[in-house]
Amino acid sequence: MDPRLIAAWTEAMSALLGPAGPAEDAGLMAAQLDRASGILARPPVPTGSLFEREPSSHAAALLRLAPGRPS
Amino acid sequence: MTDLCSLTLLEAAAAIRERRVSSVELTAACLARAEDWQPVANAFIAIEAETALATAARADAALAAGEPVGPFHGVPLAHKDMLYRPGRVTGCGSRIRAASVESTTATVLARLDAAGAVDLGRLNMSEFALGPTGLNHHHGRARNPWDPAVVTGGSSSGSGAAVAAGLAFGAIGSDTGGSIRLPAALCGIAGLKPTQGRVSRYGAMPLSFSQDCLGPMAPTVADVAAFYGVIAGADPLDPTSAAVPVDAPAPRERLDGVTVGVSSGWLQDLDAETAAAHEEAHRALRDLGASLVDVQLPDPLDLGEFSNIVAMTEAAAIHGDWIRERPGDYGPQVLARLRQGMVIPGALYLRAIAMRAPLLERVVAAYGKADALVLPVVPFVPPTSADMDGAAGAAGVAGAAAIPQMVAAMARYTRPISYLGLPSLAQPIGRSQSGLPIAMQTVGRPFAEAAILSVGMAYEVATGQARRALPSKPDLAATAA
Repeated sequence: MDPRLIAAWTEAMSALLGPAGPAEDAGLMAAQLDRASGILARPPVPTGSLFEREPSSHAAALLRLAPGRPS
Repeated sequence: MTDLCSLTLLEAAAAIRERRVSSVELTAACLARAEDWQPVANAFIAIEAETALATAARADAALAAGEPVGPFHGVPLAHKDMLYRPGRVTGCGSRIRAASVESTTATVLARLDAAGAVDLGRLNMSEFALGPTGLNHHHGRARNPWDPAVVTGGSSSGSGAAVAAGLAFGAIGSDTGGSIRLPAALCGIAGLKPTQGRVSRYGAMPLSFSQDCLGPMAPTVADVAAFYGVIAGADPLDPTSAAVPVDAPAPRERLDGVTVGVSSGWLQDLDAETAAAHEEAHRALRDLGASLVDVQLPDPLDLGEFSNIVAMTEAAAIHGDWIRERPGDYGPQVLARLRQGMVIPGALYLRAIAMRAPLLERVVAAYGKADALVLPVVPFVPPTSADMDGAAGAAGVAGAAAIPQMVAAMARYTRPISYLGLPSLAQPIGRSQSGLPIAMQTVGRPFAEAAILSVGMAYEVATGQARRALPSKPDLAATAA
């Protein structure tokens, strides 16, 4: 990778997260890569299309799915 | 004479109401026991003895004067160090907020005050409620009264340890990914994570606004049910609280007509002792008349990862300024997790948020005729702190990479329920060969806390599985060894 890009990325991370040592930054990225590879290695969770889903609909769904509530 | 601190919450309340014991006597007994256990359990961050005894004296005077009394009149309770009281410190188990004096009263504390409870003080917790084992870099971890080498579970670690050791008759905890259920399970008591929005969060430290819940922890399920009845319900001060009527659970001896779901996919990774305890619990439920049916649920790893993405992103967002400006004031594990949260892609976070409703619909549909699901809390007997926090405490790449794995192991079966926002009751179902608690969680439909508490109470009465009494003083020699 272009060293200028690595330097710019490091600077951006320090501005966002505060200065840390190279070991901490490497650990941070290792954890993220581990998470990403874990997600990519698993089959997608079937939820139906999210294209028109209102992201904040969870609270309403809890109310709607409570026993005795009209569906 | 009966060991006063071995009473359950409801027994203690009845004893005061019937004037068999005074609030001052009970409070003094708890305070003395707390002092004796503190070197071992480290359950409290601050024991507020003077204030507690003064409150107890007022409670006794009110009872003597024939004034109306609440359901917990004069009963000593305690709270996790993340609930606000005017003029008092709420430290959030941290260094950063260690001297933070608040100006409001948390609604749950106001409701307990109105019920007549005596507040013994602030309980230990994972720093900023971030950690499933109870690790705390600043105050030291709360230690499991059944074996101090073993984790209490977190983040309501002091709440679990205090109730298990009989230092308080109940405690408020919080649960974002398992933080009530894990310490309840690992310490051998009962604990309820209510439905998202069921209990007001006003005046409570935030961690993840989408998933944070406050709830009761107490010696028995019956205690938890009464405790829940006091603190639950809509609150105009908390716009996220739900205006759904709070039903009292019906006490029942049998579970005829009740259908309980079990999910074979969520029972595959249990160790032998945990698996045997769950088989025995299923048998006991059948003996009570319940019908057990298999329910196919999504993989807990997927739901757990979505929960983690939501919680870590939201936590990082509210800690962003301190992460940059005061990184040295965080414990290493907490700082590493928060920094990881800062770099989760925004689209991934929003996708996890958007998937909550459809996955909740899918899971509730999978219930079919089931009134509740019974699931493990953790897949293994309570582990040692060295086992769980050792690798995750290492510096650099190895430690940072080990943290998500440790969290996923501890919260494998609790985070998915937090993500879905469903109510869940943790209660004891047995003991390991080494005497450590094993628990199950009973998960209900949204706002159906009464149904799962009713099942839990019937199970508790039939099996006798509830908190076991510990000695009034710890065995310091054994602990040192």
